[in-house]
Amino acid sequence: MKNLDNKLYSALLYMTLSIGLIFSIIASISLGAVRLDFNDVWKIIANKMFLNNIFQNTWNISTENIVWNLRFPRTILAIIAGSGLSICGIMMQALTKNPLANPYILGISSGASTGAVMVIIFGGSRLFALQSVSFGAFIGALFTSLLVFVLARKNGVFSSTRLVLTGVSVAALFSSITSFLIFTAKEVSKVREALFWMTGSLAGAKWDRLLWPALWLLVCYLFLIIFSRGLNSLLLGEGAATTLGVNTKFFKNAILFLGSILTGFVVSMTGVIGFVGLIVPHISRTLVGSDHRKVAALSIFIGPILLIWADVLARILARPEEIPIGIITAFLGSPFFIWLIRKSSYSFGGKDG
Amino acid sequence: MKKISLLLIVVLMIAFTGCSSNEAPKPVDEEIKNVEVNDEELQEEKTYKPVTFNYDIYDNNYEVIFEKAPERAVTLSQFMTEMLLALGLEDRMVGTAYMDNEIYPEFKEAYESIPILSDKYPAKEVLFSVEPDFVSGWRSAFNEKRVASASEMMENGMNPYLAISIGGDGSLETVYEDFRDLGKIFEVEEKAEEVISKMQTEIKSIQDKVGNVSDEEMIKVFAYDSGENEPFAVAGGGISGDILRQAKAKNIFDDIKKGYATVSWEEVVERNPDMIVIVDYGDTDYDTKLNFLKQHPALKGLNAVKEERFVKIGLADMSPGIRNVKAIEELAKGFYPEKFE
Repeated sequence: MKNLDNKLYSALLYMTLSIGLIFSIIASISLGAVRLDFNDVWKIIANKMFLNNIFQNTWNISTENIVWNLRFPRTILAIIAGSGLSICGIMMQALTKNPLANPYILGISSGASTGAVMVIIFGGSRLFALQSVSFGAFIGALFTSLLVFVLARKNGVFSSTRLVLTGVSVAALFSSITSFLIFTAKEVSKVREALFWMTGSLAGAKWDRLLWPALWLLVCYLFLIIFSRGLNSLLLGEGAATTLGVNTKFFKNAILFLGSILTGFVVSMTGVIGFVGLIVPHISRTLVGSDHRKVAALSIFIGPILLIWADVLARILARPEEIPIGIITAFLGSPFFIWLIRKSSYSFGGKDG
Repeated sequence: MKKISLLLIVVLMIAFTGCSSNEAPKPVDEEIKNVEVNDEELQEEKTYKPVTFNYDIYDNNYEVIFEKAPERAVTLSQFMTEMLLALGLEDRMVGTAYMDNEIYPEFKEAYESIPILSDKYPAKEVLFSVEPDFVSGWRSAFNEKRVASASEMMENGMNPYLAISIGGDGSLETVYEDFRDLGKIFEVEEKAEEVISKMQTEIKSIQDKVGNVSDEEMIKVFAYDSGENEPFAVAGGGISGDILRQAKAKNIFDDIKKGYATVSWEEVVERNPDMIVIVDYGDTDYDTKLNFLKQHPALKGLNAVKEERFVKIGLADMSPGIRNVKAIEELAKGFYPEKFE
């Protein structure tokens, strides 16, 4: 009987979330700084999707550009970034055994800022084959996590505490490098603008940037699903995990590798969006418990829904301007989160359960 | 399964009807019209000389080619708005944004005839919705997370334009150069020369009044922008520094080759200015800055503070454009009041 209840519960849960996600996507494409005719929006999408003029073109070229080149990729980016940040949050929380861990805990955002500023100062074309600030941010993020990875190891292993502390120190180091670069630049305002790339926003979404992050996200998600039992035992502590026959070294290395690159992708496209990667794994745990397989499956629905709505609000609250999305994720996220952990029988997994 | 195949059939049918409506033959007279239009375009191209620019916007070097005079310009900063209005281009502007101060009185009527897209930077969608073919402003606007990046603009038929004068090497000369460039782009070269020569004449008459000033007579000024722990000051590199120079003052931070720079109070004391220029804008008003400087214990001994010699200048007047004449006049009057009596 209990088993059946559980099945019904998850079926209902996933159905609600699927409908919620579809509704969110529709809202996200229909709403924005410019008011567009709802019918036009969906006719344009139908035409583009089927690579054909199903409907007669009765709208302005600007409407088509707004729908297809701005809002649609932006919504897809919200889905990728929302689930990406949530997956990274789950990974980092498992890796550091710390419920406070978020995707940026290993200093990745500082490294990304340094990378972005360096591209602007030294000129992208001279430094990299690809000329873009996003690419600099991506390289900066990867470099930072590699550095943390190397520095936090001792005799081939790294403790969770050392990992977090190394992350904090490396972040401080990179912040100071960034400040120094800005201080010595000839055109301070030009370089300071680079930091604007790092404030969270989905406005930079473009079709051609979405493929690789989406594929990598898929790899990370499959990893969590396939190796969920190993991850579950990590939360029990290294000793217990080893006793259970889990190769903790492999898991830690794999998580660090997959998670850093995923965070790097997301940061380079959206900048730093706070709170999503922290709270979504916890929200999922309150709904389905601490099994990583279920937490991951649920998070790739909750993360996107949360981020899509934060972005919709960011776009429409201050028309014709845009509010930075981080303000909304934190302002709405934190009270909700506090309410959630107070009301429910919450468990992070492992011993403190 | 049945449902899926049904759905497929419906989709295919829709796709086919789409195809067939596409292939409908064009009416003959429409084709003739097209030919005529093409002819006109050819003629237009003959008279318009394409203008090419290379901009270093952030990370990338963009080559922008104007193949015809823009018809739908958007300006995302006050100084660009006023530059285009100075050239009488209000009929070809479809939107403005981001004012720092009141519009220059001379342009009020023309300015009000153009839609205001936003008080600050508009969202990308809002820019796209007016279908511009020319977009200009401070460099900060050309950021994919502010308004739009230069490449996003170019992919959607907008030519980005960046004035030379906002760079670290800005000067009055580059302001003239910018007017000339805009004249070429918009095919109003005569009007541009008119604006430039008017500026030159007016500046010359101000400078004639001040007359020759020897190095010893030249007033030493500190141009204070903002900052309490450390002052942010006008340096020697950009347009603001050149305006001080044109008003025949010696900027104590002329040796720093940036537009503006963060300096130290110690250095200000060491260089002992005769007069302090206060750049006025934003939330901290002139009186607050004035009182702060007067009451700063380290500055008590400065000539400027002892003799209470301060002069106020608006930030908009220090930005590239015809307002620079006004800035030079106000500053010169502040520096050498006896010559204007």
